[in-house]
Amino acid sequence: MKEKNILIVDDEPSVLRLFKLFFLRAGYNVLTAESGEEAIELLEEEKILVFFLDLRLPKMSGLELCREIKKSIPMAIIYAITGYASLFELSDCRVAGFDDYFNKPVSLPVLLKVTEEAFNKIERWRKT
Amino acid sequence: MFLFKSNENNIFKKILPIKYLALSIMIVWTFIASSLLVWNISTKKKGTLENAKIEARTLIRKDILYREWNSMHGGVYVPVIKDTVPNKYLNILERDVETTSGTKLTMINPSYMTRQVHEIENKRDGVKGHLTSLNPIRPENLPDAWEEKALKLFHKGKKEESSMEVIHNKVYLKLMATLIAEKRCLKCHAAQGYKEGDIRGGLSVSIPLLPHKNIERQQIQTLYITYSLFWFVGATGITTGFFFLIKKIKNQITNEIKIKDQERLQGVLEMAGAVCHELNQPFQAVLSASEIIQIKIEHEESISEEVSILIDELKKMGTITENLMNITKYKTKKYLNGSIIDIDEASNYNTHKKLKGKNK
Ligand code: HEC
Repeated sequence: MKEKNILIVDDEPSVLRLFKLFFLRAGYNVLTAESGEEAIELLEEEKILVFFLDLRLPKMSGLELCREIKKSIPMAIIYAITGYASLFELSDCRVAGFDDYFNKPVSLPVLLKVTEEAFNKIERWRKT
Repeated sequence: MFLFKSNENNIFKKILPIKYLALSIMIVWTFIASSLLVWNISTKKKGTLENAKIEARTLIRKDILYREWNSMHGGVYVPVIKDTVPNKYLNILERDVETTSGTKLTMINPSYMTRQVHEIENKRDGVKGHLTSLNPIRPENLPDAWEEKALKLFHKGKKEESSMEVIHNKVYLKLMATLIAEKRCLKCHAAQGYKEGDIRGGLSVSIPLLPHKNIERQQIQTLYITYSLFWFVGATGITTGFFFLIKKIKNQITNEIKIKDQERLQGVLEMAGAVCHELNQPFQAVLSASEIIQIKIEHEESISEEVSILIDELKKMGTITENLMNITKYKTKKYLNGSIIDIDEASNYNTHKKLKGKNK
């Protein structure tokens, strides 16, 4: 695997900064966006397969962004991170194409683990 | 408990005026039904009296007709028997005659005939007839007190007098009509100074009211039954309507309570959502910063940047709880598919301390 690109979308700059710092140290190439629109722009420039999306974003919601990503990159593995969601909304997440979801606050080592697994999965798919 | 009580109170307050209304409708209904019954009964009673009067007039009319037939002949001869002896008051030529075969006959004047008929009538039907005058030839023909009063009224122009009278514990209708002196009558009454058209006297009949009253009682009984049913149907209608209305109002109030509870739950959910959302954002930053600090400390790196993030985020959390404490109005914002309380907007806490407008 050449580039281990991950994209984190969250409207809270401090969260973005900390996530980025952590994943950089773990050896990933980290891209960040504060809105869905910004994230879509990045999709065109970079080859990204693993995503962490906050569900609540200004303008375009996390759900809509997830659908957009799945449309252009069917292989993408997308995780939702949400401050608050009811059961109904979580089921919406599954329909929209999220692979898993985490309630805030989520521990960084947990996210690191799922990221590693995601890349392992992608590696496996590549070989077949 | 307090809420429950106020709901009970609410139901009571709404139902009370309907109770009064139903009660007044019931009273009015009962009043109408009983007034109609009373009116009907009194009409029936008047009818009974009227029927008795008609009967009395018919009897009098028939008496007068037979009397006319008698005076048309200037008196009629009949055989003398035990009960029909010559009339000592009849001073007339050829009062008593004999047939060729020797049968004794005597002349019967109209009054004598009427008297005898009245005796038969009294025995058969209980009707009491009486021929009378203020100026009688026969002293037994003197009027009683009631008749005397009536006769005096006749002389003043009245044609008929009637009333209910109790005679020997029995109720009668007593009715009296005038007897006018006609040309035919004068053959025997001219001697007293009567002229044609004068009031010679009066004829009274007393009819037993019992048979009429019996019919009346049956009719009144039917009225009672009919009106009871009539009232009962109305009362049932009113009661049914009342309970139907009460049930409807109770349902309405329970529904209102249900809706209120749902609204409350909605509010609680919106609040929970808001608190989770607002606090979990800084929580995330605090947790992440702490985890990074842990790693950095192991590697003996500078942690000043993470610590300042920590401080910022903790201050932010303080602002959030202060906003929560100062919520004064209901204000929501869209959140995913639902809505949550907009803590910034709902709080009257200093505007400059509000969270940055990232959620707009
Ligand atoms: C045949 C003779 C005769 C004729 C006709 C006659 N009356 Fe008399 N009437 C008498 C006599 C007699 C008496 C009294 C004795 C008695 O009561 O029988 C009398 C009594 C009466 C009395 C009762 C009061 C009383 O004076 O004692 C009245 C009322 C009366 N007559 C009305 C009439 C009228 C009205 C006519 C005409 C329709 C009439 N009479 C025709 C002979 C007559």
